[in-house]
Amino acid sequence: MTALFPDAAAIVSALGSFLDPDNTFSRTECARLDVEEEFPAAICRDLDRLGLPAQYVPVAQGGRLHDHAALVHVVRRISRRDLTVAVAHAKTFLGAACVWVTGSAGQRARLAGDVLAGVPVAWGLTEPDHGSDLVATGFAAERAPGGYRLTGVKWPINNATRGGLMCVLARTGETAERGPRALSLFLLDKRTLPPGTIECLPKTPTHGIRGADISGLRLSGAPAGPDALVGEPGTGLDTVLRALQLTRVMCTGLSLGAADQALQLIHEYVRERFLYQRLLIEMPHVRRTLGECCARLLLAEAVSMFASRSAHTLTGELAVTSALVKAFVPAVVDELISVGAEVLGARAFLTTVYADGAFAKLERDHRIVAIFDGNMAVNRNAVVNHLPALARYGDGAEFAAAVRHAATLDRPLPPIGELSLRSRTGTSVLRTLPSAVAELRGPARELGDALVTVAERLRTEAGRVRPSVRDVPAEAFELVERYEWAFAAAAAVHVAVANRDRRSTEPWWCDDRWLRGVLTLALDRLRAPLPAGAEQVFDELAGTLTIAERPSILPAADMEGE
Amino acid sequence: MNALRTYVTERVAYYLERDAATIETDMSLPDHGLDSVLALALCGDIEDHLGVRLDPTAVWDYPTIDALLTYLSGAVAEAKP
Repeated sequence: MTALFPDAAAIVSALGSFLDPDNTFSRTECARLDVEEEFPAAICRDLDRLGLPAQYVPVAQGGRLHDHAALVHVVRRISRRDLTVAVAHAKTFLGAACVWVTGSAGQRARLAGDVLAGVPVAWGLTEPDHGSDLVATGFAAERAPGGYRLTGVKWPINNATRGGLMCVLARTGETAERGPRALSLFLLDKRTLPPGTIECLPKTPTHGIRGADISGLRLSGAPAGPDALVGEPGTGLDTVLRALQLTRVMCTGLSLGAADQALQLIHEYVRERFLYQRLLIEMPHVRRTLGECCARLLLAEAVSMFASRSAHTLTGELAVTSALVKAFVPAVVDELISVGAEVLGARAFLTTVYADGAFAKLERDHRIVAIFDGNMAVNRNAVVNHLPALARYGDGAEFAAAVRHAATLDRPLPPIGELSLRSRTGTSVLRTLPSAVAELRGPARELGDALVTVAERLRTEAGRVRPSVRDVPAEAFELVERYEWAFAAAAAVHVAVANRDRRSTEPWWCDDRWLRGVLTLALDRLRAPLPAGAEQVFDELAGTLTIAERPSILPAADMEGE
Repeated sequence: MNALRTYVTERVAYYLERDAATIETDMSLPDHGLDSVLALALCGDIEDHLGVRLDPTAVWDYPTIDALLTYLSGAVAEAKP
């Protein structure tokens, strides 16, 4: 099959081999930059030259973005080499997203010009005293002749210093006003602000992504003309909440790339390392662990591809879909990395011995993905508030076509529809699960039936949760975690039934192999009884790794070209 | 209208975990703890209850029960042919 994402393949192949130290974007260079805590400036310039910024700009504005799965995938391909580089570069999409969602035609055109020219854009939401609590934003925008004057501190912010532009959330209402209508968004051009009104705060040392520009911005009466205001005054929070739906989906690409990298390092190690006169990969428990790691990656990939495609066909559900995948995908990949670290033993811990210490670096770098752009608690909280609605809806037959469209990986997508702050229809993926499972046969059907039973029980439990002003009880978070697993597994079923006829000769697809692997993993996690011998699928997956290398549901052409 | 007032007041009391009798219809909902996210959930409940589509941020724009009811009566009238 030809590549689904040819732009990403072209960019990656133009970068040259990651293992050749003479290339700018090489493992050796990334390790050096990390040790020196140096920004990957030359690598980012290369990515600019190769057209990566166009992937962040909608087609209507002269860019190449028309499919959010392609955006996830290109971020994945860069992250597979180095997460610091991906976080540093892809941040521009986060900074620009609010303008794409609600900006005026003039703002969109100007921003597109800057992004396409390689100007980094930052997103200024977080403030020193109230990280995730956006309604508490203190950064002030006061009315002034000719527009506004902005005063306050944004910190810690990715690309705060290097960004030429920053999209900031500011308080246009009264200081005492708690309501969401007190907040507005501004797109600031840092390059044109008068001296004395702007100061970049120094880079903050970080545990992972050490080379990234995690710094801050202090403004003191900086002028902003009316053309800097993004959307109407008072619409800042709803625009941010809509844009976050797109950026949270994009973040799954960071985790997928990290998982690709981790699995590659683990696999290389276990097939070369001798212990007690045997190769590690020949030991049953190592093979089992390796297969489980493949299943984690395949599940993360299936749900990320589905979610990003569903942004186009089930846009109204993205408020809940994006929160589910932003909580789930980084968590399951963190799990893959920590299980992998056990297999690697000391090699995961030593920073120079194996693959330039890439595994230890990866482990540190990936921690940030679960934290930024809404941490796990923020996302799970968003799902908790949806739970009564998720429990209430019927079979969702009217959305079966939209689900199938999203699941059919090679089917072109319509432009993204209107983003809503709340899903009126719950999650159609779970509502239409029984009809998709009915298309499965054999061992996959048995696993699918078990998933339907679990999903129905979850729906009943969801109906008992009561969102309220009180802190969310730990049980509700635990329920959301199980809901994430069920959602991911259901998305995998839809993807499998929609594509398997055309893919059944490929190693990961043959005999529903990848689907049986991810369902076994998910059902085990959901404490559902497994059919006898189901776990043997993990040995099959480990065996497939030796013939097909990269575990992926995508065509091999999308994963080649390193 | 009285039935709708009772319904909305009861939903607000549910989210705030207070007795409905203690809810004043002119009190500011955000000031009494109904945060921006719960406001979206409340709006969804009302939408389902009335069977009309509302702007999800209606409770942000009409942050007291009285203001919300005025808005809702308009939205319901508009939805009827």
